[in-house]
Amino acid sequence: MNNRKLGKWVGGFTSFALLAGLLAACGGNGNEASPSASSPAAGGASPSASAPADPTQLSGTVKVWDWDETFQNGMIPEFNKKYPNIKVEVTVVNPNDYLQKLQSGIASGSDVPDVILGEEAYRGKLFDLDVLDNLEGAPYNFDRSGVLDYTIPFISNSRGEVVAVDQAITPAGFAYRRDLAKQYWGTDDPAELAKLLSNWDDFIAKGVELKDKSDGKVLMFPGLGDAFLVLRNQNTVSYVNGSEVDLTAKLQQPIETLFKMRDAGILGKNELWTPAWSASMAKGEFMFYPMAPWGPKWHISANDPEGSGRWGLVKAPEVGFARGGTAVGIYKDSKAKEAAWAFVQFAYQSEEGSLYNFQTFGNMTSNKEFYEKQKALFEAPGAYDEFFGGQNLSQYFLQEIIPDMKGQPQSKYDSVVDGVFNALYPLWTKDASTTVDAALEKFKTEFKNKASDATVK
Amino acid sequence: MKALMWICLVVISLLSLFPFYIMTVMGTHYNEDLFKGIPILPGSYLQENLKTVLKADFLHVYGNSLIVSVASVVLATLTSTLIGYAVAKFEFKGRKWLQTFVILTMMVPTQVGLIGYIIEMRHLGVGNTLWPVILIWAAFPFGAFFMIQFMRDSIPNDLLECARIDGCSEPGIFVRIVLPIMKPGLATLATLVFLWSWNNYLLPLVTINKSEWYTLPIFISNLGIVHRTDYAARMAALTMTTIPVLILFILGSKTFMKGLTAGAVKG
Repeated sequence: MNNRKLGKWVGGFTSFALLAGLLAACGGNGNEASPSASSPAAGGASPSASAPADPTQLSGTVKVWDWDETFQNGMIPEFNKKYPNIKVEVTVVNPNDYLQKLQSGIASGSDVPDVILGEEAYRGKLFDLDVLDNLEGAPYNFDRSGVLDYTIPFISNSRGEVVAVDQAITPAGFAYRRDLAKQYWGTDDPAELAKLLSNWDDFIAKGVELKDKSDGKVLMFPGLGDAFLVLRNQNTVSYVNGSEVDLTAKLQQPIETLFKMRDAGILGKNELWTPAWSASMAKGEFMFYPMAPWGPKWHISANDPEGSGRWGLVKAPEVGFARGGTAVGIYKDSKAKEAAWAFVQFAYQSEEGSLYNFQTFGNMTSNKEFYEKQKALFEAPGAYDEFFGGQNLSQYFLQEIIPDMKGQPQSKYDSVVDGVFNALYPLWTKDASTTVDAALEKFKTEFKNKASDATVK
Repeated sequence: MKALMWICLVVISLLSLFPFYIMTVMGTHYNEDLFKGIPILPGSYLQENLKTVLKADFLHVYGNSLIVSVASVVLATLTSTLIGYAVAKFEFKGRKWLQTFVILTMMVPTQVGLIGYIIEMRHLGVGNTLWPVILIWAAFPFGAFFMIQFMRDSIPNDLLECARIDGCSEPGIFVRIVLPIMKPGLATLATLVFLWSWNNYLLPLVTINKSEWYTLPIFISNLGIVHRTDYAARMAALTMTTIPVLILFILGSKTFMKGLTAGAVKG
């Protein structure tokens, strides 16, 4: 009897399970109402690099994963004024989770965006996944000579194909405290400071002078992290060849200079992004903070809200460097390539998009032509020029920093180098007796632990 | 001696409540001020932080999380109880094997089966909805294991036999006799499942690709992430997120404790 009743039970449960499955499937169909994008070839018109022939003929849905919803909420309506038949859907994805989400999407064959963003921290890895289309081929026909030369390595994969465009350029110099420069060095003029700090030896000498005059109260950088990110990014040597990683070529010189500064006592003991590090900007304990065009808003004025007028921008000793930056590419199996390109091209390269981008968000395009056509725009004062003592920041970036900059070829090992450095520099700060050779050896060992497939030199 | 015990209890309570307090207070400050030191007193920036949170469609996401958690609780307790009842109280072929299988699946980390699960969900046609985050609880090995143990310990076979002799049907026995005895166990399991699905991060992260279906943990990690992380707004959101779980725990704490310690003194 028991068995018979059990049978009923099993039957009942099975039918429940089936019903649940059915309901689940129904719900899914209702919710998965994202039409697959289609982009009819508009009367044989072939889209060119600049813009498709007739924007209204292009249609479809473009999926974008971005962390900056405010940007997309502003840019998409602008885009739709010109391309009314393309729908852009944005999903907000945290840059820290971006690659994991993307990889599981690709591996499981589920949703993958048409427009993919590669932030500095994982850009090399993204390029290495080989999921982005070559933008110099059809239907994009992107022309690499149209963008600032130094940006090319940042948007190219290891085969040299251009697979992305820059979201915004990120040339960097040093934000400096005008009040302190005037007090200890007698000048707060960027041009004169640039002359005083033309190379790293001069920089160290001026640092020692600053330390002595201020009785050790004011130092050059808040910590080893700030100094190293400049030194590392200035050295743009191509250090990865397949799985061969030449860490000596990439890191020896930067670590030598870094340790010279440490031993001269001109660096603070703060770690990057710590509370004390952030608070030091308002306190005036340090002269310099590496800064890219996104820095005035998100970095300096955010941490020193009362500091209007007491900051300046000067280029780094020897050569400019890049800090941060996001590359925007198109998924190679996207079903809406033309529509996706129309959006990418409009938002990051076209004149209308770049103008809106600069005026609304302060983002500077990598498109050369834009700077020729919009000279007046950059000669006019920008939103944070007043904060920086009336200095024209975009002009300074464009004319003083960009011209001699070089780009760093991207590799999947970049993020490993970054991770190892972040783990090691607090130790170098604490133990000032570490030598360059010992530090480099330790770096190589740690690197091998994290990237066992690489041959390290 | 008693005084010492009280002092210990007070110190431990303060230690465990302090992070909650700090979380709440941090939500009332301006983000950059948080870095100037640990704030002890509430600040005046709560309204702005709330604005940031609510502007980003917080209530909608809250609704999603509630749907997911409540549905998960119903599904997980239902299947776990049925499995527990079957394995603990019925003799059938493959019973031992089934129990071993449940324990084996407990040992497989979720991450390992993740891609396979996403593919399965895609074939079911429910990718990119809330279903994948709910359905995962239909096969919940820990719940099944917990229920098997709980049933074994707390439901006497004689009671079931009596019911059968008195002519109660099998579903009747389950609903009228087993479930009432199982209340503490159900409450414990429900609280745990609610908590786990409420806090689940990885699964919604990889299965949901539409902002409108995001759940709270994903939403919070996406709050204020452009160039600067708005920790203050996140803290405000976290406070609002923690409250229902806290209330749930306070309400169910008596039965919860009973459930957790059930069987502890039995031979």
